[in-house]
Amino acid sequence: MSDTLAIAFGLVFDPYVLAVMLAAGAFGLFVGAMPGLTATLAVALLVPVTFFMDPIPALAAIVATTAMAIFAGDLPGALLRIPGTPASAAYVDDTHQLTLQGKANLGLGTALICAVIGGLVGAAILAFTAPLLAEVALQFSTQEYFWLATFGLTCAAFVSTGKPVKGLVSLLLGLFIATIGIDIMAGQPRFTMGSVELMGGVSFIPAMIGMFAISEVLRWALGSGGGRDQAEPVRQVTGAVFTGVLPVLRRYKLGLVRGSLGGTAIGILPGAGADIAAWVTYAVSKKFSETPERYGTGHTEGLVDASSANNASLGGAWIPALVFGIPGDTVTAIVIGILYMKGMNPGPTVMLYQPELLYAVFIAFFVANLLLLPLGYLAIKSYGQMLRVPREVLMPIILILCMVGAFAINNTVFGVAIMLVLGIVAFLMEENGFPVAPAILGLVLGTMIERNFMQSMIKADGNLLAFFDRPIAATLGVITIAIWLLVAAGAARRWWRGRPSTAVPSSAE
Amino acid sequence: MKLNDAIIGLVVLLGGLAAILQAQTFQPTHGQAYGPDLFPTIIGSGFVLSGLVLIVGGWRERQTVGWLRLEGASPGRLLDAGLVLAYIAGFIGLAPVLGFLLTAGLGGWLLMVRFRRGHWLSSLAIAALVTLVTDWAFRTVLLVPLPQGALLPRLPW
Repeated sequence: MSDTLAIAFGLVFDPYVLAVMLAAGAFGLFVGAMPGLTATLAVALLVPVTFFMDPIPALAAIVATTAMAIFAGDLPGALLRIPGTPASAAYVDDTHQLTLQGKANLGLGTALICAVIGGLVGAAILAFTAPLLAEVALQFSTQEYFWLATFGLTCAAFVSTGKPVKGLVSLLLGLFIATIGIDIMAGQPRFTMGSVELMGGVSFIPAMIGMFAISEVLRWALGSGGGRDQAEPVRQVTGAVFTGVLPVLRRYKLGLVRGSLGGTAIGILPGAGADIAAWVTYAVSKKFSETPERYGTGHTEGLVDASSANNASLGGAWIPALVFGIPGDTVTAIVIGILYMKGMNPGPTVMLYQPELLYAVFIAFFVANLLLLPLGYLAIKSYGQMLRVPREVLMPIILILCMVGAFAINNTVFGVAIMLVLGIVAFLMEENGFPVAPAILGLVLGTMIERNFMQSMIKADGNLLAFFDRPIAATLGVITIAIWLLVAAGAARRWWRGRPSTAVPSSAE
Repeated sequence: MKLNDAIIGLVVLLGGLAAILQAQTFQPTHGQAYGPDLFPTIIGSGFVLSGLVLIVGGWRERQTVGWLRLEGASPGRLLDAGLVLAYIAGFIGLAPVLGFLLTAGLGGWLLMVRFRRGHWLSSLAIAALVTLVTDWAFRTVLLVPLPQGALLPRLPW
């Protein structure tokens, strides 16, 4: 254990890895601070580069990028009232009002310190629970993995906002894309339409880049995302950043704890990431507050909860990813894709065969969140300069990087075509209220679910009851089926009650 | 572009049916109860069911939300989005012939000029620089065989 820890420290505190983290952190700050460019987009752009790195610097780069990008989203939120990433949207009114009151330094200083603390708490929980859970997970067989993946996808489809049926369609789309190519058990080509390129399946990375980057560029071009034609002047942050933060933290220390723990817990749920963590903890904080009426008017209380929660959720999302190979959010979905491409098998066996990798990720989390303090401070101070890079120049550059990235995975323009098609699909989905995250999780987990199902069936000679033979599998199975029944019952009840959500025409007459 | 849920539902439903029909042509695995057609059939059935739900929901909402809305998309904006798609499609078609540098660089330049409404020279400089740096980073450092094309000589690095 201490040997492994020492090796892991050596792996992370290597000048190359630290330099990669620093560069990735600066990149994440920049992308997160650009309105309309999300943390997931930052990771998607980073992936083609990490593809050529060793696992440790690749994972460290992703950890650093996301930690910075989620905080950086607060900058345009506070100064322009445009959240830089969806995770900053929950408390954008508070930070922006603080700016209007001339207290931008208090708002952003609080957001930064809370982000660091939340991130550290998330990292600590990750470091303590992942090895323990991995011990349990080592006992798992194909049945447990089948149910676990199904449970994860169930959460992903129904936790996301909007109508459950839209989450379900998104999930099915991801699962369907995962079936394209040569079937894993029988060698049957499926849905390849005679294309040799499709025999190997739809490559994950071009799909990711399309769904997260191309769709965002399209949204920007059409002007439906934030940030185009903004006329509002950028306010510079003057004065000391951290003055006044300490009293705020002391007053709302309960919120800090609540936000950090709640954020981590939400991060663990597959499909629920930093944005949902921020919204939920903000709402919880308001519910328990003595002054709920002050929320949204430049009050720091909800800010403390939510800005610690969105960074804490990042660590939480890695727990199921590292322990079971089931991503907790879109970023860890990308991470799992990368690990598979590097020939590693994300899951408890990593703990067995490469424990130093696991510990290196934990250490990278701590380093990244500590690094956030100075880098975030610099970003607050230099935000005016950062915004001088016009989006009109940035978008074509992003497109070039996307095309090269999609090309580089298999060295063929076919990857670029996949990126284009799925970019358009994801754009249309988001425009029409279909969440994209379930599709990504379906794409990552589809093969795993099918393989575990088929292997279990071969072992049990086609007896479906085998999925309930083992205690953990049975428990997971019952919970999963119960969730499906509950959602179906809820939908049916709304159905019979008529049309509560669309009651406009009848009442208007 | 916002479509009525019923239209999307119809597409989902038909796609699901197509997936189920196609799956029936897959060879079963000998001696096994479940073959490669199982998952596509389940997924297809899911599509059919959710498609039906979407169609009914969308039909109920047709008075309030209509069939198709193009909110705030001026012709200029639509052209911008179309050019983004054309740039990528052009890269797919032309990069193997013209090479990465020409396709990505020229396309990126024109796109930048269009987005910035002018600035021909500075856009050219930025596009050229970005393309050259990307080419160096991916082709030279990461050893990705980016399409060379027939028109430009191979760069010395």
